[in-house]
Amino acid sequence: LALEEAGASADGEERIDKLRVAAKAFGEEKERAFEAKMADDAHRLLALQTAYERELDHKFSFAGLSVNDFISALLLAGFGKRAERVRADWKVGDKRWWWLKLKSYAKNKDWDGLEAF
Amino acid sequence: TNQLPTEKPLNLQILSDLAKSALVESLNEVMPIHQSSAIADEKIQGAKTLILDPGLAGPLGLVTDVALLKHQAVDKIFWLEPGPLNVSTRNVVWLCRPKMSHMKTIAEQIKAQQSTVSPNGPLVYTLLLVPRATELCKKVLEDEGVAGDLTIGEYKLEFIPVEEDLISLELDNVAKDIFLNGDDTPLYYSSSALMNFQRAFGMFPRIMGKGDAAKRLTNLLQRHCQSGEEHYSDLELSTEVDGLIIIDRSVDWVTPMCTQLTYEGMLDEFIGIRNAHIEVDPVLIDPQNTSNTTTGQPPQKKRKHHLNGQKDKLLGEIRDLNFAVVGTRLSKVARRLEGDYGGAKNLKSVSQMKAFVGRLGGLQGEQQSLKLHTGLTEILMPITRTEDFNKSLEAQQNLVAGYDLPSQLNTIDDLMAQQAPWAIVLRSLVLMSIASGGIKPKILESVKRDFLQVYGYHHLPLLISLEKLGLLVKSPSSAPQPFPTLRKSLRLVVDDVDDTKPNDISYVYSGYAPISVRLVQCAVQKNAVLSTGMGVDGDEGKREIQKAHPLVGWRGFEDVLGSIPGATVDIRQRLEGSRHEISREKETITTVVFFLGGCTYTEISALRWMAKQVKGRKFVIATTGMINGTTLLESFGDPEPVPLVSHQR
Repeated sequence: LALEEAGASADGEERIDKLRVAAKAFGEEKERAFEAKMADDAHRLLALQTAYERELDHKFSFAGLSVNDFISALLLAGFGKRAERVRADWKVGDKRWWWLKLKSYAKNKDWDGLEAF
Repeated sequence: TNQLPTEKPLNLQILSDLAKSALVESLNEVMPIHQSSAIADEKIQGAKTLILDPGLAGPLGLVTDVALLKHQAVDKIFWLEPGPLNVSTRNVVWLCRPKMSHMKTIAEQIKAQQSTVSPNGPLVYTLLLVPRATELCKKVLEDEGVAGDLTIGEYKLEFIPVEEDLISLELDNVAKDIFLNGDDTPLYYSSSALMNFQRAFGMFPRIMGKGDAAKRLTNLLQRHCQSGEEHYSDLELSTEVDGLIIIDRSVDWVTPMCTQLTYEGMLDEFIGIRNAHIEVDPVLIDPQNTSNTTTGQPPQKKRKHHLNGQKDKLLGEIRDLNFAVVGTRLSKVARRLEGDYGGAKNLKSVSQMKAFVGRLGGLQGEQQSLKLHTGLTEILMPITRTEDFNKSLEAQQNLVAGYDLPSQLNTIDDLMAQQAPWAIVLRSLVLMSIASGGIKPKILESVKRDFLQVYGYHHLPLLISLEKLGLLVKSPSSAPQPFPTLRKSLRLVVDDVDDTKPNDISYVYSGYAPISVRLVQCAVQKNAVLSTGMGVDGDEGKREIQKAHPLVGWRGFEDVLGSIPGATVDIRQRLEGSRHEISREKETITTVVFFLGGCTYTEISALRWMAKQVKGRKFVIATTGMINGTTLLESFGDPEPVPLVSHQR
């Protein structure tokens, strides 16, 4: 399966391509609508992660993180706006979002943020 | 006191000896075949370089040691990994599992070696495949063009005695091969190992089993017997073993998904036991090293420690206990040891002193093992106090009991939001799916979507595998879901279980009895399944230990067995013309329970506890390997993605 190949390739661009192939393959089967959507999400995520890395002059490494870890990395680095965008694009539920916020405040020792929370 | 007749266990050591001698034999069969040299009959018994499959190191370590290998003229040992060889001997021996990737590596290595000139003349290559050389492997070597350059042999490493009552094939990923990939190779290995078991101890008079794979294995065993092969044809029915019960893992996925609550089970869940070895801080096992708090040294590398209940009596005592009572038991032992050492003050005569010194060695051994297990308990204890542990445990127990499913879903959701380890979450989801006959499509999709977002999209293949296996499905599911009825008919959920004085096997999960072991009870302890556990507490002292009833098939439980998907097996193996009855007078009879697709430590504990409840029957537990819910789930997924290399800096 293209998914396994995607996991085995260390090259970001190559993995994005493989994920696109996987999403397409799932899309051809009616029963696999969910998997197609997920593979597409995975592909979009990786693309966004590499885009952000480029925007931020490769000072950070986001590629390969899960949605949760990506948001928390963005929050920790102080890119609240970008984190909000990921939250909206991936429709992250309130409960998870607030836990991520809370943990990032605690990690950054941002007591004011915690207070406001 | 009531003296029990000495119940001698089946001498499994014999299997270990067999494995050892087979290895020596295989290594010595390494004879050069000179194709280039004129002197064809020259035998080089000389030094060998051994290249070992890392996956075999653990199992091999249980039957042999480096000293034995050195004795067989093994000069150096390397790991089998891609890359050029660096050998100084003429003989090169690979010892590995028959895997395609290994074959390719070996072919590369031979080709690379042949292009350079060796000072020792042409090298002699031998490949020993464990436990069997497959056609596929031979084909790969042929395609690579190296088949003519090496001799292929086999090393039949089969059942390895891990404990007095436990033998294991130590194969990995058997459940995945059989139930997910439809690859029956492990069935073949199992049948061959069971045939050799029968050669050592006699033919099983009766074979019972549950599950389609169990049925296929039984068929294979019968075919071996009828094949007319020489060493199988003169088998006589065993007088020590009354039967084989095969439980195939697909019959009971619930049990491995639950968190194991026995001492050894907890060690496996939270520290990890591989090939009966556990990795621990060297401070815990080194007698010289009494404290590490004095220096600011960097933490030392973890050391492997062999867990063995025969060598370590204390482990034998506590491993099957519910973890809740382990602490008390350890402090009792500590107090006793203190008393024993204190005895030194009261020594009056030289002979008393001599006797004390004689016991000192034993005391030190005990002290050492007490230190180890106290240390391990101290690692486990805080884990049992974490919210992740308690919340997931509560959810599991409620799911198994079928109690208030929506609120369990909520708990699982909370665990995900707080990023509890992925395996905890997925194990609970699988339990929910099995226990309630599938999850509503909408809920299932959203929870799967969240799972992937939290833990990474690389888990998608795993979710697909679980769906294929029927372990994580939407309701109403097409496959029958027997769990809700089994809960009653097999009395799986027991409310009044006492962890300190267990009256039922369900103590191993604090209130849930493993289906697998209940099925074994259906065959060998019929009333234990039916009884409600009443009347045990009052007159425990007086209660006579009953004699085990003979193995009479599934009688009385046909309906229950029928309600579980998969074939039911019950056959007698009787040689033509000869009638055979195991005499009822015989003190102890052994029943072999074979877990096809792996078993958990808790299931072993439950069987050990069962054996103590009646006299006259012992169990030998045989398995393809040890598993727990996490290792099982991991085996169903793809390997972790490799880290991405960012290439534009």
